[in-house]
Amino acid sequence: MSTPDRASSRCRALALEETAEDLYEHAPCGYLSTLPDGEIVRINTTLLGWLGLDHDDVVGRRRFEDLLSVGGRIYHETHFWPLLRMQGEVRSVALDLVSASGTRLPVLVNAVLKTGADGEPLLVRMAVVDAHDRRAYERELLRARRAADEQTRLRQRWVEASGEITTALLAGAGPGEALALVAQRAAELIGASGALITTPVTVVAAGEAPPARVMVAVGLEDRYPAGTQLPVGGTVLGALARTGAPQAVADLVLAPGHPGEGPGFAVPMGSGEEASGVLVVSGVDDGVDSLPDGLSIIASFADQAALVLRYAESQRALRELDVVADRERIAADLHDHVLQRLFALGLGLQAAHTRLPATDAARRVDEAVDQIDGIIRDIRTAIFDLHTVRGGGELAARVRAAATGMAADTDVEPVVRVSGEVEAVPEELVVAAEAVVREGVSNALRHATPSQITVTVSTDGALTVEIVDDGIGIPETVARSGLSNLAARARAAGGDLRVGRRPVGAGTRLTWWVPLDLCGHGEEPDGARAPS
Amino acid sequence: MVFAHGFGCDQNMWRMVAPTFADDHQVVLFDFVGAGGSDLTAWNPERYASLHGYARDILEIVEELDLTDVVIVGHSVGAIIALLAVAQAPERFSGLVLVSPSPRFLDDPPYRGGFTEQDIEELLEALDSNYLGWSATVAPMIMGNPERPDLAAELTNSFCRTDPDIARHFARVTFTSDNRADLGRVDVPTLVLQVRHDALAPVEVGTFVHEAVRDSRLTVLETSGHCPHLSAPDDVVAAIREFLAAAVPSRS
Repeated sequence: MSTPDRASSRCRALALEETAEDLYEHAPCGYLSTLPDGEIVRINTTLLGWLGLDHDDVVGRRRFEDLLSVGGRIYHETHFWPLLRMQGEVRSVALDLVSASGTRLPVLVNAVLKTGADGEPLLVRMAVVDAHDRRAYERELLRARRAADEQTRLRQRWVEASGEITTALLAGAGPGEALALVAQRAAELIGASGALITTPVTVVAAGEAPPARVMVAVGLEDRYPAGTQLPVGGTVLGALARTGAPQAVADLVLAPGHPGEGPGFAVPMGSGEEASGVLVVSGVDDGVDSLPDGLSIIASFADQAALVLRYAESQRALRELDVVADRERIAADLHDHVLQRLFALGLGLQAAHTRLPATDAARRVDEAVDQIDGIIRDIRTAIFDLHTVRGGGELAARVRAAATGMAADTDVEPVVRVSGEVEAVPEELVVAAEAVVREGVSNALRHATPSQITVTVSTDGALTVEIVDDGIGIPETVARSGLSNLAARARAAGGDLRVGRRPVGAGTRLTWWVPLDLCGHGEEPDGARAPS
Repeated sequence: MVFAHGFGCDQNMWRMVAPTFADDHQVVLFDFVGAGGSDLTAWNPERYASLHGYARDILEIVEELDLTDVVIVGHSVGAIIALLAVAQAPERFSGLVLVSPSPRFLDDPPYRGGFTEQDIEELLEALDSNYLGWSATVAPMIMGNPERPDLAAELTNSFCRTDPDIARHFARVTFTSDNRADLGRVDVPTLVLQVRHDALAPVEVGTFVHEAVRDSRLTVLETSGHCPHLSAPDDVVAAIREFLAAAVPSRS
């Protein structure tokens, strides 16, 4: 098949390769031979060139291990040589050679062990292939795989944390506890030094936003304990309030003029009227860019946590409503059936008594009538007690009663939401909250002609009463007039009263709050907080 | 006699030494959990976070087989693990052979282990480079073909293969452990087998071990490399036999 031309070029090529010596010395890979103890007895020019070494520096003077990096040397002793000895050969072992100038030369090494007749090792032959590009590619592959594994692990841990929060809430943890758990897990998982959750932030009008209040703080409680008010303008919270979008910043500033807290995230927990708060994590060890999806992971975690919190809250409200309805039914039964029949019985006896002669029997009937009167009084007290839900429900029931009482003659049915450790709110503050609700709801009804009023009472670090309507707006002077006394009381206790436009849509928002120290170790003296 | 392999490979490392003792001893070979043919599902990072977890492997085997008068031969980190096992249950053991032991690979002046943290990072990188080729492509193929176990055997370099994460973990534990203080805890006749030119455990380290272990003798083999049981098996066998004859009380 070959043409004369092709035959002659083949001859020329063979002539070039006629010496095995040249083939060995200038092969496109490195060759070397060593004694079983590693001493190099032969090495080709190609490999010497790669290493930048002279023949006489190497042969008889160095062992193969001496050409390796230290890590490679350990690998040689613990893997390469044992394998070679046991298998007689090794293939494609990745090692780093170190050249005369100190640069690393990534190579793949194939080796065979030549043994004598009795199996005694005589010689090791090695072929060394430059693996620069391949190793770079493999490292990249490894890095990518590690990153993917890490990402999967991390997502798994976020999912577990969400599950943990759900479980805690279903097991009866209060919203305060759940929020603390959210903050703690977020800080741990993101590798942050601290986290806190504030009340929701919203821009009221013309870029002005009411301050947010810290509900829980983890790792930041020294500087921003629960109850701390954080101005929203000019901080990361402001950016969040304006855009409603999760924020990742290189240096998180929580209060203007305060030093930054390092890299951090601020993400909304839920949105709009449904918002439960803002989750802030700060001092993220590896910076906010360390994870490709860090912001979206934490944002969805916060959303999920908010969802669970709202669900738990509505469940609790439902249970509470059930209890209230039950009690009212019992009270109505007592009133309509038992009480009326007793009353009739008493009247009957009284009528009979008048017709009886003044005998011992008449005296006994009279006593029975007295006793029936006593029983009726007792039942009335019981009915009254049933209407007043005790303990945890008291604040909720009284606030609800205050709101619905004011709106009794209108078409508006106020929505009342209560959250937090309501059990521990002292009586004088419950009275104050009732007064705020009465004034606020009545102002809204008289001046704003709203179709809806929402009353929110929360007790995380502070007792906060918020009354939002969707009416035409109330002049601030009007809104404040009936509340000046309560506003003064709130300020005296370290709280405040604010009235402003609703962030979205028409309407007014009134916020009244005083710090709570439910454990009794607060900074405010008792007297300042408890109006007398 | 129980033979404990070191970091890197598995019980195959003893193939030129252990069989020669089978005539006059019960010979027990095993792979530490995480290495060789061991059940990888039995491995967990907590138990094997220190060499004591591996020492428990030895003790569990000794108890399961109810062995007494055990002469335990350990290589490299396996030597230190064997020493920990002996310290914990001395009543089971009558002799200890430490082949190329190093109680501390990292330098801790004035102690010279021979390595720095940086070197260990390099080793881990070398491990990674060599696992990539098989774990990423070949291993899934083997796992997907359980009916073809011969595939696994056909792979080259198979004696030193294990799960890359376990290998990394074992490497870190091996090269960062400091068991110098444990050397004084054993009181059985002990042989320290030291190689003249060992890049991993130099002669000074062997001497240090010999001086720290109470009832020990030091034999220096005039060879090179960290694995004398592969490089100079006859010398290793001879040294162990001499030690058994001279120092270890015979059973009867």
